[in-house]
Amino acid sequence: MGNKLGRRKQVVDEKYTRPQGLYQIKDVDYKKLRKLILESKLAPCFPGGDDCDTGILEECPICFLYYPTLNRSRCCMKSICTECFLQMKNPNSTRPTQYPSLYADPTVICPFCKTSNYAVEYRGGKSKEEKGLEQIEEQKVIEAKIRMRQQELQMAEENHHTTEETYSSNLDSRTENIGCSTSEGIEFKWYANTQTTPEYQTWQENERGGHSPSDDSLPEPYTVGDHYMPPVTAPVAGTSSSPSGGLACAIAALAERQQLTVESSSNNYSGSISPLDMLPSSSSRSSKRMKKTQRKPTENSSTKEFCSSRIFADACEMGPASEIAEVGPSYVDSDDSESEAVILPPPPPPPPPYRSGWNSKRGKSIQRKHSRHLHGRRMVAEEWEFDRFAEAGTTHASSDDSDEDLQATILPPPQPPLPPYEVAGSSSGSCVAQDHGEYLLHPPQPPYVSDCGFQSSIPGPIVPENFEEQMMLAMAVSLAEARTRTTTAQGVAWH
Amino acid sequence: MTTSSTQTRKALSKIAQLRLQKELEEWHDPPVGFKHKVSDNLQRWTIEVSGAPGTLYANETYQLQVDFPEHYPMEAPQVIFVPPAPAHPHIYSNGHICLDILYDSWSPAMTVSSICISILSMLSSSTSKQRPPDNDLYVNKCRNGRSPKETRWWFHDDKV
Repeated sequence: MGNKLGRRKQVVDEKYTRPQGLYQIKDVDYKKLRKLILESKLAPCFPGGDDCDTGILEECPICFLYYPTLNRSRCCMKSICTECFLQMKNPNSTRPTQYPSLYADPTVICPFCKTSNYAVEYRGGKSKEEKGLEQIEEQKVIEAKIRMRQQELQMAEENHHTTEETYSSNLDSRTENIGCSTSEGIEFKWYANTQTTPEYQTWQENERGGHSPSDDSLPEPYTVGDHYMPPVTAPVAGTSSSPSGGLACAIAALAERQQLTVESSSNNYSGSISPLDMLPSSSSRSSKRMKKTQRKPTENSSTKEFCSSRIFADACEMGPASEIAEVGPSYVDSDDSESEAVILPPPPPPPPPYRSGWNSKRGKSIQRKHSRHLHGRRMVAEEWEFDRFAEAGTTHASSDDSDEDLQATILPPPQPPLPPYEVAGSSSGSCVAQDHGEYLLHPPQPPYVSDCGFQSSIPGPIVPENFEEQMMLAMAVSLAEARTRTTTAQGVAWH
Repeated sequence: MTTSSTQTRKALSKIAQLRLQKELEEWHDPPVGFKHKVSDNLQRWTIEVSGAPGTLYANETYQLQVDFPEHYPMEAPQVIFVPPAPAHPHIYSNGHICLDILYDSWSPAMTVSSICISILSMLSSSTSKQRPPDNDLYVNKCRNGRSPKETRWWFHDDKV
């Protein structure tokens, strides 16, 4: 038991209770904002970061910055940071306030799915359960991707393409497919555009399994690949431990050998050769990775300066703001109604909950084209519903909070295991994620394996991670040198 | 190039710069059919569009000019074709594009690539290479270099 889900009463640093100056905001009700943040009804205004660093951070799909925690829209569970959320307003609205959505203004539409009455909720960081669900989802996606790959391969064979071609240049397959049949191509492109989640596409894929092969392999590999959030780090952990492990082994072996040579004859190398081999092998494997990882930092360096120049908006929150609060009719009398603003309005889980709304609104001009596919989407949406219920169950079980909290957690459609792909639309998931997916999918394919994802965990395996390792490395080198000297003196080349 | 550059634009806000930088990074691997023309102007992008194979615009190349407002992405970018614009029922000969997501239906969750894909999709679904019926009238009105964002668009055609 525990209050893992729902609103956690965590202490928020005072400085994160007001905007960090990402946007120039004119009329913010700072008092109310602060209250909502302190009550954990809105995510704290953490300063956004440029990198996904360790991979724990989530990216806001509006400002593309990374945050420890984000709000979720009630309608489609998309993430958004508090400062971007404050910017959401109905452009046609005559209301002077910058963020009517704080008051559950029905005219504000969700920037992601275009549902009206846009509102968000905050549920803190992802819990273990949520992360577990995400992993399950990822697994499903990976499986679907494998199936898709197989189909693609089959198709490639039919088209007398070698498998290598399809693998190495996805570009080919993409253009090819667009060319295959115009309408299909368009629809697929549109999927990519409409920020469908990967599962979404892949599930749909399955349901439409009987279609012509040209349907089945369009940009999926891309869309899917792009949108992973950092999943499990098992493979990373495995590889990251190897360099230092190899180092340790090598040192141990060297030390041992030196002792041996001192004590006995110099022929006793059989045991030491294999650990020694570990060094070169791990280094060659990792240097590849290192090359790739260097790309990212350099790209990012240009954006750093912007981040560092962020200013705190030090507007007086208790002063004028509180006066406004007293004058403004909407919050004269009500602490309660204030807090309800975001949480309470009985959340009508938008009926075709998932993306159909998004799709239809997103591009009127192309809407008709999708009607056929909307059906498919709805079917998938039902599956989602199912998942949500399942999750609601766990939520319920693990939450022994007050009624109010219970409501808060149960009423809004419990968070589907979506978050990892939130990045979807912005298609900016260029961080760790992508590579894991590819990694798991195509182990035999080095270019994918080593693609840019690992910089945080492996700075480049043969480069020592810390001082101790550096020392060990130095020791190893000097030992090796000493060793060669002694062996050559004895006339036996051990290597 | 001349159609919209007459108006003086405010410099990008900090958040707009930040986001555009990130979007630009992603354009190292652009969506199929597009190519970003490298320039040092973050506020104006020129993007080369290739008509999708098998469509009316196959083997044709056009240029999109994307101008970002100070408050991008809260505000939509201005997107036009650099004349000569493709002949399309929703594209005026001055390059202005009648597409709702560029105006009323813009959402800050959209990106340059999503716009581009929408435009290519619009091109690809065209069944005839013709100008909008009010092309001459409209183009005449825009002679002074009016931005398409100032136009009150009426989105009526869901088909193309």
